[in-house]
Amino acid sequence: MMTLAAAGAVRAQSSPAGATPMLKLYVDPSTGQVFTRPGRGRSLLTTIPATALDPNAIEQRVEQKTQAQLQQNQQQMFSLEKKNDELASQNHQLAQQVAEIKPAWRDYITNFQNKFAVGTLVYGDYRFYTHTGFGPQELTQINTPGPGNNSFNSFDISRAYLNFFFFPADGMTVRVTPNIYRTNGTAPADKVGSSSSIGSNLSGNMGYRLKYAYLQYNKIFDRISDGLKGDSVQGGFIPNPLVAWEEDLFGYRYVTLTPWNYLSLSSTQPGISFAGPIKINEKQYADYDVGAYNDSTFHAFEQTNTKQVMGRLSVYPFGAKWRFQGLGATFFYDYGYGNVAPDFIPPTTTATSLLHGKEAHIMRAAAMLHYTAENWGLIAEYDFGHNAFTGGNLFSSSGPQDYFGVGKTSYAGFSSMTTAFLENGSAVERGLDFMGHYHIPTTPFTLFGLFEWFQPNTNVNNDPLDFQRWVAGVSYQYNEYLRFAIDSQNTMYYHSQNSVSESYVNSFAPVFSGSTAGKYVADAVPRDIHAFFINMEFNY
Amino acid sequence: MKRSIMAGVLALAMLAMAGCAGQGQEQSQSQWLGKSRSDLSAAMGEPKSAVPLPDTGGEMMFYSYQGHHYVFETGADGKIEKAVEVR
Repeated sequence: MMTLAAAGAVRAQSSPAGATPMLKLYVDPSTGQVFTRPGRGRSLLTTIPATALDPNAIEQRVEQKTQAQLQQNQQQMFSLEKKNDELASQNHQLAQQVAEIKPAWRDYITNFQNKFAVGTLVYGDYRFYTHTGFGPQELTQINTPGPGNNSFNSFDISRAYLNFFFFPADGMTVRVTPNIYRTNGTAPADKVGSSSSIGSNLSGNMGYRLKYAYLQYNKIFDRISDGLKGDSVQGGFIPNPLVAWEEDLFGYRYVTLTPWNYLSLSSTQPGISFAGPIKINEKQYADYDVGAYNDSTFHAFEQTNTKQVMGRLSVYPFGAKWRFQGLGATFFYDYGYGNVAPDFIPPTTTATSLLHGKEAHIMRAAAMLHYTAENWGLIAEYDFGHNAFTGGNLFSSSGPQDYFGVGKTSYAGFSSMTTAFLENGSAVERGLDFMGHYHIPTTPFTLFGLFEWFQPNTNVNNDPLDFQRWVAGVSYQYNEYLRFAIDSQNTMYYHSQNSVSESYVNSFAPVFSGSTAGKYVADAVPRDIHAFFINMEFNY
Repeated sequence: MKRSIMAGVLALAMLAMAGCAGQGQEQSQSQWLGKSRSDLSAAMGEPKSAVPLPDTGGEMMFYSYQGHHYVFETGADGKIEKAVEVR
């Protein structure tokens, strides 16, 4: 091993003048030591320029090498710094883009959420009848057996809306609402093979059918006047001008039906309508709904070549800041025809008179005065109609087997009398109703009531089918989604029991054949109906 | 029948008188417009009465809160469309 200090003392061995001085190095193989002079056991290792061992030269070279490396490193550092700056700039841009993307994503989610809404409305009840009888349904989708079935009771679900609302564009709403309906009607069993049979399951099941399906545009008159802002046009299976509006006004649809709905007018009608408020200085002074509709209900096949028109106008003389507020007067009119095909031939009897009920015109009218405050409301209504209440409506909860043609009972004469009085094509109806509610302050309880008096045909003297209906109860608001009610519901055929002569009945329609002399429809006044209900409403 | 008609006329007269007596001083609560039912219940708790409006798909809610009384109406999208303090 040779040290630089020793190398520093080495002088170059002699070499010709002008030539680079050379240095011979000798190595002792046994020890590995390197010498500058030959000696015993040493052999020549190499010959190198003397300047190679010059410490200054070495230091210079080292410095040069170091300098070169340093420069190289510096260049690399500059290059890395530059790259770093570029990356930092890119990161900044990326961060900005990401920051912009987030609100866009949120915006998309928000917009998506604002494009549709889903909800449900469920009505349930438990009802107990101290007295059963023939009569209209207290609520849709529930039925009660006729007289002689006292203590009948039932748990029911009478409504289960699935509300789907879509808002595809500004001012546009599409609604699809299926609802339950009770399938009634026995169908024969199915034959399978040569000896097997599978029983029908069509009667009594709760099925789903379409209740509402419509497109609505809410800005149809916005450009015409500020007073008509929010007015809409609707087309499809739409609420008719009266029933749903009156249900909103009364507020207790989960307990009972409003008067014309109880009698015969369905809440939904296939058609087209224009509706909305008329405002002056942000106060509503009128509210209208007018349209043209099928003669059929929404759950029947349209057969006619005519259409029915309906219209409602509600006037608030003192202005209303919220819907229904204060004093209001409402007028409703409906004119249409029975749902029969143009080539319908009414049934004939041996007499010349015909039953014209099915194809006759149908008219309904209502005039209401109502006052709605924030904690109470009162409605008075006068109803008038032509051919708007048939035996099918009277017996919508249950009726004699004779009326439906499925059996012969002691009610045969009563059924025929009902057909003659209500379905002769010239029946005139009249009714008077009161509805109201009062919220008990500082409590979640509200008292409510309804009274309906109805004459199904004013042309009939002492009509045994005249009735009064009253509902009274208390409602409990459990939370914003759920409320309950307990109430008494009663239908009373208020005339004293009497008999009606068959010849008198035949003067309306020839339902009794042969001689009617001395023959009477005994016990013509139906039995009253009395029941207690516990009702539930869930709305989300 | 006559008694029923007389009762009806009396009720109508009472309604007309109630209307003519004038309506309360209502104040619009526009700060609630566009907000949701859940915002309302978070602020004011449960309504004293909530009536669904099947024809519109909305709801009418009546509140008593800190001595004031309010009426809110929502649309089908659940957002408040009308908000009035009634007394």
